[in-house]
Amino acid sequence: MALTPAQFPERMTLFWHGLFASGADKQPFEFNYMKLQNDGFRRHGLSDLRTLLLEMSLSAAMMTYLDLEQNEVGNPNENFARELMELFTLGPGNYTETDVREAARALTGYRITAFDGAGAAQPWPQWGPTQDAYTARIHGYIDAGWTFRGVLDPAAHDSTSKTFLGRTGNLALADVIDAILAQPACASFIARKLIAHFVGDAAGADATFVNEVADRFRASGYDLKTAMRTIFLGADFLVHTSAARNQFLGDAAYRAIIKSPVDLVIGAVRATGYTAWMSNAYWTTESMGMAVYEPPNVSGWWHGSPAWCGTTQWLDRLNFAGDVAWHGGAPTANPDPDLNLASQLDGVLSAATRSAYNAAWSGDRWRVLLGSPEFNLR
Amino acid sequence: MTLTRRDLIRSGLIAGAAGLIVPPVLARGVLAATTDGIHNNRVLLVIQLGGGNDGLQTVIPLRDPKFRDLRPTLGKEADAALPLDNDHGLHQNLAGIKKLYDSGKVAIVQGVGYPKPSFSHFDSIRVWETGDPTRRQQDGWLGKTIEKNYDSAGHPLVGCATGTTSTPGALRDLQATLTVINDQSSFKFQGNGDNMDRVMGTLYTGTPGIYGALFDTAMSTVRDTVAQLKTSAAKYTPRATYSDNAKLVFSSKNQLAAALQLAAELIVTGTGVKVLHVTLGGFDTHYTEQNRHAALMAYLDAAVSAFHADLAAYGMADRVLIATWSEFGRRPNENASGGTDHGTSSPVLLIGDPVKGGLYGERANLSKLDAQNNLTYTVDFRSVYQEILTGHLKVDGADVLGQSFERLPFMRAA
Repeated sequence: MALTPAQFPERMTLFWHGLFASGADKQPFEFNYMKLQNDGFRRHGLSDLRTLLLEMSLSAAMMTYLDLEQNEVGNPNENFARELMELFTLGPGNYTETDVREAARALTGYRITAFDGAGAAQPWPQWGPTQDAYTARIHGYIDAGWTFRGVLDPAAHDSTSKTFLGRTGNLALADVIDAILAQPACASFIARKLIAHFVGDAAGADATFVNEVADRFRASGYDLKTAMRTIFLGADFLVHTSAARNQFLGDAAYRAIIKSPVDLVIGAVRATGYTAWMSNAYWTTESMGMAVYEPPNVSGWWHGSPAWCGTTQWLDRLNFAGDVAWHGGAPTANPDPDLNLASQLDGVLSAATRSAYNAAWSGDRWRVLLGSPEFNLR
Repeated sequence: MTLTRRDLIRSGLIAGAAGLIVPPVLARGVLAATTDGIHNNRVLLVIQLGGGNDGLQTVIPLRDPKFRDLRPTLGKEADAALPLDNDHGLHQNLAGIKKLYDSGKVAIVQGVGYPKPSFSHFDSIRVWETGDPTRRQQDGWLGKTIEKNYDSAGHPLVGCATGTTSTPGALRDLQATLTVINDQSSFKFQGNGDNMDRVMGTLYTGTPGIYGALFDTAMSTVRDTVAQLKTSAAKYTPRATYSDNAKLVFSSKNQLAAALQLAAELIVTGTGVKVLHVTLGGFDTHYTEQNRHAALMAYLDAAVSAFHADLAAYGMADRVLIATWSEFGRRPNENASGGTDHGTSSPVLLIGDPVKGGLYGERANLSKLDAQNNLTYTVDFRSVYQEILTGHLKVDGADVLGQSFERLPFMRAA
């Protein structure tokens, strides 16, 4: 993210990781499954929602994190089925407890399977001699192009009839996802999450704006590019139709979101050109409350901007600004600190920020800039 | 007026509520914390025994022949255990806690667990942290306790984790202000810090925009906390000897003695702290358990004893309850590596002057294991929470836990 000129796909990848949360803390091979899942988000993060949901559901990281791999006929585990609806696609109130149970049965029998670089199924790598050696070997396979993902084992699948969100039959994963996508609540749910993340919390809470995006998203067959285009270019179609346009596009969307720790660190590294900092980035963002690949729980990170303002996390933000400014050496991106106010803060800053910036000696100016309220917003 | 963090969050979400000024009520400082919300001086300190502490080696069934049958190596600890009565003994390295037990200051609740136990560390930790075996809750039970009962806005030390860099799940709550202090000396503005403290103060004064008030509150809270910690450090000298065991590196989280010393400092210097969380890791003893577990017991014993002695020397032991928890106990049968695998229920220790000492719950029954050869639980862990909340902190336990659980009378009526 710090280096690529293609920022948007990376941001989408991070968004899906934060929404469809899985964590390394429950993985048998540390970050390996997480990396594969992340590749999937990168590959399909801007394709269509159906493809993305299938990819996410059968990622080894998700199957481990929410126990889908343990869900089998006669002994259903509802963990994934429930979160799929509650946290990932519909939100509470849009399904019943019966739907959870029926979906869990439909999702029985998926087993994590190893594939080599050519896509051929391979026998599971043998364990041993120690967990560390085993993990290293799995890591080596993944480096060599192997993947690990869910495949239906008919013997472990409940093939009797289920009824889920009004559909009846011997349903399996694709049927469950199609039934979910048939619910208008799904388009609204995803639209709301996208808008809150990209435009702001207040815009995400606006029903008119959410409905506009959701309608187009659904009509396009859940094409994610359409959804994003609608959000970003909303002005084109909202003209004359909605007060939402004036409220959220343009001035009101400017600096309407508190940067997440990843936004802040990547932004500061890109601003200063101090890419060597990236070796510290994981621990830095973790101390600010966002350890990539280890979200605090299945509800992920996108709880609205105020979640980032805890005491400890806030102090760490400011000390991070100091660290980058002090130890980063001469910033290469923009050697003239005064130009930074224009390039990094658009020249739009409060009197307090301008005065603190001017009062600081030149060595502290980056610190004030990176620690300013303006830089902490996007 | 009382402006809570929740109000700020709410007002921050209303586009156009620009220029909300932080009211002076937020500048009153952390010292005033005890004057808000619940009016008592009770403090709760929770110790997480990370990795799954072996309950059968902590509170040892002395006369159960099955114990030695199932545990050829580990079972020998029964010979050296410190007897509590004919049937129960504490691990031999828990001499300090035994002494407290003898003076009626330790309650041991046996067989604590929950239905359909999970054998995943992550999953079971989440159950204990949220107080919810159905896994519907995201916030932690301690975080909720703070959110529902104390005004943590502007009082960031009401809920505090020491000796760690991340907020423990039990303390997490999106609507409460919580503080995590790994190392007191580094909890400050780094690099020309005093100057930066002032600079940041002026930088975040009357910040415009929808998040201006939230930002300014976060900043004044940080500055208050830094100042408070500096004052506390100057006022406090430990009155007991805390020593971290450098050789005990099974986990990066083993700084229990230092974490407890900081906890004691926050308590005795009147910061308004109500709920503290510390962690001791390393209990995932799948192999060569006997020595590793013994070392952990000794370390836990020394750190807890020092903490209690320190508080007692400051005359504050009567207000503090220490409670341990672990995500699960371990399998009754020893494995081929001289260790034990993930199990189910285990005992909870409750230590402190406000405790009504003794044994609660039922003794682990090794003759009545479940289908996976694990112990069955006899006490729901939320009954323990209920008594901690209602009997010690004197808050509404049912409100925090979502429903009322049977109380176990391990707190003195005070």
